[in-house]
Amino acid sequence: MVTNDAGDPAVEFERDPWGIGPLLAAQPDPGPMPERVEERIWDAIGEFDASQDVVDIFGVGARVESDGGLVDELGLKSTEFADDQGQSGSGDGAVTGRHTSRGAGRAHASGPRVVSLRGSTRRSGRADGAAAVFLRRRALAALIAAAAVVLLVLGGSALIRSALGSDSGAASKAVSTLSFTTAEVPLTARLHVEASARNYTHANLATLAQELLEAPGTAYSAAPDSPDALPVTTATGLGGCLFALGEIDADRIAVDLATYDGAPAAIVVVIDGGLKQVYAVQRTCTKGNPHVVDGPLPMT
Amino acid sequence: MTAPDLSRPDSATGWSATHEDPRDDAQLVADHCAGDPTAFSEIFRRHKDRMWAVAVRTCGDPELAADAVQDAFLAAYRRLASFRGESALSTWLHRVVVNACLDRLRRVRPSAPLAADDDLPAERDEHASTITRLDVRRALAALPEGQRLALVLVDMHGLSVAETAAVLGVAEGTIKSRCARGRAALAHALGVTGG
Repeated sequence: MVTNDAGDPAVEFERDPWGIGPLLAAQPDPGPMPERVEERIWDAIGEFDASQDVVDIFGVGARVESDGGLVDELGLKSTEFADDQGQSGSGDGAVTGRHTSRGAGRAHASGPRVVSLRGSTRRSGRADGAAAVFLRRRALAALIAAAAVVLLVLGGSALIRSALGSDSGAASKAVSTLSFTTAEVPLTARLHVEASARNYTHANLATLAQELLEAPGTAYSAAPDSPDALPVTTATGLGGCLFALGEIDADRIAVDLATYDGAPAAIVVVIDGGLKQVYAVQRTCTKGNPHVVDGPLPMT
Repeated sequence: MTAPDLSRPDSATGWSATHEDPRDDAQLVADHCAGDPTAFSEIFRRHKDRMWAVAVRTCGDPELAADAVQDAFLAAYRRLASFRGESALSTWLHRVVVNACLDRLRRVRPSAPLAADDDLPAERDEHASTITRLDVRRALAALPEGQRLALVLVDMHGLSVAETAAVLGVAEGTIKSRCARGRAALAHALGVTGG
């Protein structure tokens, strides 16, 4: 009877008394990646690039998703980030994300746009066709975005005019809550914020961050927006911080308002695609400067 | 089986002259981050088949693997600038692909339960050579996640213990332990005699 109670793991690993290693190594290879899978991957990358191009075309913080939905940077409101678009963030290129043309991830900002040239290199023989498909998608995305922006202006104006009939405060509220239909999950549904007593350090950052993911604590209620509140303790400020990190679109985000090396900090854990990583930032992290203290460190 | 190291353009992997790109992976990463539109295409070409194999064997299902490699390569494309060259690019890509697979698997099987005993092939006195591919696949799928990943990367894909430790973010001793326990469990499930 074979059991799992092996002796010294290093010895058992080298011994492999049942020859399982060679048995596994002899299993048939799955073969090359199927072409349909390659197509899917490049389509996804093309759609991502197309959305980036639309951002640059309009320069208003809006982008068009693959389904044509127009969303702002938070996926929540129309005007949240309209005030200071174009701030460059740290620009250190250490982090990149969907918003590579702004914020911390400016890695592609000065380079050529990838999408329009992709087809010329990714698969010889079908390069022209692939490029044409992407260009058509870009044109379509631009048209959809243009139409959506027109609707936004008209709709927003109507709301403002309507609201001004009563008072200007209501007008402001009407505009700020104007939202768009989008297939993207809103930030609020992807975000967990808590304030724990953990003291993170470089050595334990990834380990404690994993704890944060696996055993989230009581949700933190954001402080009201005010000049006195530290940016990351408010909903707006935290959104700006995540934007600066290039992580606003991550699949899941967990934030712990804790300490790092004994000083107040915000620990930001992001899961996006297959990548999981953690940052420590100062609580002064803003859209204009993420004030990264440590990270991003990869996690598993 | 040891897969060829596709991260080295000068390795004997049978590249045709038309595919030759003299840049190493580090240069391709730098070029991608600088906006070179050809760099990621070359990275993809070099690593796609290996990442596909890892995904298929980690997910145990081609459709799930297709979703996972799509997630992974899109994430890599978006976040290549966060790769800091502390390990080989292929190691980083393995990590991204494995994590994408785990994310997908957890969506399908949130609790990732072990298969019941009656899901495994009955213990028998057959020689290893008669064990079918399906037997191995089913037995692998029934292993705890950590053991399965270690065996897929070390035994099936020929990664070193150190590389696997880097991919999975654990100590090398943990990889050896997981491999040893996983092999023992597989031997038991497959009815392999020996030891």
